[in-house]
Amino acid sequence: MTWTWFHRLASPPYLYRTAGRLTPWFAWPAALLIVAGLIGGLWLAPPDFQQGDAYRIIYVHAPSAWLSLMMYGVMGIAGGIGLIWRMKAAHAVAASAAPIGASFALVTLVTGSLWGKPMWGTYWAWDPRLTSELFLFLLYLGYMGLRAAFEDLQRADRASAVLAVVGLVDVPIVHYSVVWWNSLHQGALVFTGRRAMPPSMLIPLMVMFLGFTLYSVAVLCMRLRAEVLNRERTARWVREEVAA
Amino acid sequence: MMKFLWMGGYYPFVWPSYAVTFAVIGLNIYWAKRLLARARRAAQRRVEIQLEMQEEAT
Repeated sequence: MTWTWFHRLASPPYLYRTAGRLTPWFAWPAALLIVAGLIGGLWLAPPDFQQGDAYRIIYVHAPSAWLSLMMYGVMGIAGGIGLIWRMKAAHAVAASAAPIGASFALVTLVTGSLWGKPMWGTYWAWDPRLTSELFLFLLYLGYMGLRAAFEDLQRADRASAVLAVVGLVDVPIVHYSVVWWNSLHQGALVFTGRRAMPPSMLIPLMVMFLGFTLYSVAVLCMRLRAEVLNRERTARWVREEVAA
Repeated sequence: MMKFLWMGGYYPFVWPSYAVTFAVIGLNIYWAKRLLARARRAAQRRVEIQLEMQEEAT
């Protein structure tokens, strides 16, 4: 297996141009999938026999939760690559992923609370799943706060990468919290090996998962381009790029 | 239509969930675009300043 594509991504101009070329290829399919998922989830899927129409919150709640975990994974792995191989591009990826992940962790908490009120009778409970997701949101805030606390970019990169890597431990905790502990939160519905949801409910959810994932990659590419431009402000290629 | 909006009586929970999610989706796009435009403007401004300085030097 050749790793030249990976090494090429370490080059800021290549990363900037590749991210620019990829953005529409992720953004437009994401928009189409999200619209299709909305139609399927809000109109076509039948009401749940226990939760009625309240369960339709799952079509935004579960994909948001997935993004909050996925973006943390991206941030932690990119931070680790940046620390080990001293790859500035990896730190740029980590810094770009953090605000996206933080915003979707917040969406997960808010939509989860709105779903919890009619189902559990409360907006919030100190349940393992809810608490570990809140901790994930706080990790994101800590990561962004730590970056902002340093004026020197290299120190900010290193310190925040250590936090991102250490915080990775929370990702499996969030995911498996409903298995490891007694939880108010319902268990895994999708990849359980048994048929937990009928296709009429599951297909729109899968479409939303894919749409949200492609959307997050598109936004990550846009943020990454800005991050690379800011980091490389004195480079010749940036002068040529903006003059063109 | 009213039945759809009513969401089986769960409308105070379902619609705000969708509103918050799509507000964040829109804001993420807006922030990313604004960041990129700002970074490009700052880079262009630096090029202009360098050109002005070169002209003054000559």
